[in-house]
Amino acid sequence: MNTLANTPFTEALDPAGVQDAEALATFLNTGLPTKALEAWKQTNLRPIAQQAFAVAGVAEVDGAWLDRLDTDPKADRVVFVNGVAVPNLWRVGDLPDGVVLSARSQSKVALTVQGQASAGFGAIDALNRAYAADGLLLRVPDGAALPRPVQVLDLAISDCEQQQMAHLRHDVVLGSSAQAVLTERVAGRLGAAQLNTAVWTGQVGDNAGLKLSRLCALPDDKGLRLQRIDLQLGRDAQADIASADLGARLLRVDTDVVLTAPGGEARVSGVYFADQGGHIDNHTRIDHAAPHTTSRETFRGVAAGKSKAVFNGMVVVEQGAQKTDSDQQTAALLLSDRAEIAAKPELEIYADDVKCAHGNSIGQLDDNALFYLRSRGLDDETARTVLTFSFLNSVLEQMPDAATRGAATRLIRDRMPGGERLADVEELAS
Amino acid sequence: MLEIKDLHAAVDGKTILQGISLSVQPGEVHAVMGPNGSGKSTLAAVLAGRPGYEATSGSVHYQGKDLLDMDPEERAAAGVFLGFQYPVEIPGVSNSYFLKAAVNAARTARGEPEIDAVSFLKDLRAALKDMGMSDDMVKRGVNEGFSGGEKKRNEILQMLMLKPTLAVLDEIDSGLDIDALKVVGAGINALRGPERAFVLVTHYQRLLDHVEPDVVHVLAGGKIIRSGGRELALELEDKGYGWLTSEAA
Repeated sequence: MNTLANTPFTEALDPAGVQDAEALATFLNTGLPTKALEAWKQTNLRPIAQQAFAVAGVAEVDGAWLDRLDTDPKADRVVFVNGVAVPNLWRVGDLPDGVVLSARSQSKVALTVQGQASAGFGAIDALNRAYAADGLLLRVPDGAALPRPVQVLDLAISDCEQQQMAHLRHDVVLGSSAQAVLTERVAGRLGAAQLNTAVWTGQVGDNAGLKLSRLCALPDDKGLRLQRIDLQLGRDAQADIASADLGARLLRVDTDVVLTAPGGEARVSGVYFADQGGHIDNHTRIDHAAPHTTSRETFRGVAAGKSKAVFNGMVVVEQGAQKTDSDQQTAALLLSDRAEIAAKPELEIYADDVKCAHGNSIGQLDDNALFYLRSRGLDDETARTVLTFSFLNSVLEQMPDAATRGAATRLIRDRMPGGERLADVEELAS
Repeated sequence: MLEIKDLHAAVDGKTILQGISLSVQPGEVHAVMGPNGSGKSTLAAVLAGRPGYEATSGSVHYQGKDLLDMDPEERAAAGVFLGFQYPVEIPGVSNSYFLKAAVNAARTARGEPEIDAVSFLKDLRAALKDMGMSDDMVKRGVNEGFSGGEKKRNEILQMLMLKPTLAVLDEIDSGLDIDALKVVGAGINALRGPERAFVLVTHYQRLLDHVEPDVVHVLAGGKIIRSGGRELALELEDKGYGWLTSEAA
């Protein structure tokens, strides 16, 4: 069967919460994507399609739990719970003139960014548009810089047995030479499985800079999340997107960056740690649509338990995009013989004067490094733990936001078998 | 302290060591020299327990215990230190964490409590000063982005912190400029004492200008073909290895 239309999932969709009826109709045509689609070969959404999800309601946030999330006290904070802004948890300081920073549901200004079409994510984007009533709207005018990082908390909370879904749409526009540092923190406290979708659409103006650090840590048995980050970069614009995907029952993140004008530079890095029965899938697409554009991509991850991790990294160099300079390095480690990793770099090059490097490895820990640590007295298990940490942290170090990086480092340590043997992370991490 | 008897060892099924016998007493410094391919580094690797290096016959006893029967970490716990010819980079894990983990592993093995932060820092500062290394180098990833000379200094820094009973240093002097060589030599000399022994595996005589050996062994074809005092090293410097290897053949 090549479609997941007319499934318990589509049949249970509640007309009551719909924001965009046209988008819902589009979604209902196909339903969730099937494994017949190239972009979904490694990730099966059929189990989700076979179930019903109600539109999530408001949920109480446990303050102590929120504190334990280890968020950045110095950042401006915007909080969404189950797809709805919770203004009393927001904390936003003074902002430069002309900056718009608000929740979609409360905004007085309309701000919609036209994104790029996506073959793989189209149906989910339609589902998201159909139901998303909220999200971050951010506009930074020409030449302005956000004085503090803006932290977006996307929380999935339920104490009921009913399976719920929630959707957010974030739109970000940076004017010419504008600067913004954003972080996204995804966490969940769930009584039943919950499906969250999120779509970031962003335009980074000429000579502007956007830094986005993501940390997703959902319960390995209940968190379901489908997310896309869709960025368009102008002339000499820079984007640095760093991810740490550290847990979910099913997590799919599509990161699409198009370099539309000369001088654009994209840095995309990520670490992931799949465990138990979890499934973490990162699809990235970097499109060099103009000459003299640069991309640097590094992804590393581990799969433990019975988990599966997927990485697909597409780099496109379009016709005329001469002097493109692209480098993609990915590596993965299997920590268990029941875990699975599917990693695939893909290059499509339609220009002839370009530099495109890529490397991909899946393997075990380096024997020589293991021996080095053991010869210094570390027992075999501790040495393996240290090297696994090293493997991930050497990429995580590139994450621009220090607070998110620190939280991710601690989560990685806590997820590792034998992680409790490691010292305080501040000391451990270089 | 270290008794090697008729040691044969193979790598990938190929026999490299063809019967080495060597006796090292506490307080002694032995230099093992030899041309490329003589088996010097294989000897160091077998003593440290590097995987893939198999002792096929003979024995190695350290303080009366069968060294070949011990895992690398057990050897470390018993006070054996291997200085690597090519120290490994471990990015993302700080050098100071690595040093502290190593120090605490040694203390735990001796039945001592873990070192407190203040004492560790004090020892570390002193060792850094001796090695002419900046504080910044312990905050960086282990050997990450270090030059060849910095990596070797970092090996000796670890040795100073760990205070082993037996140190086997594999080509610790290779690729060092004269300043680094002096520092590394001084580090070794600082640790010399009646209770400690050193086996210096080296290709060049130069290190022995800074660390005076008690015994010099010349290795060729997987065998010790000549042992003598320091003057043997000087003779090698003068004449090269040719006269010895042709004599042995």
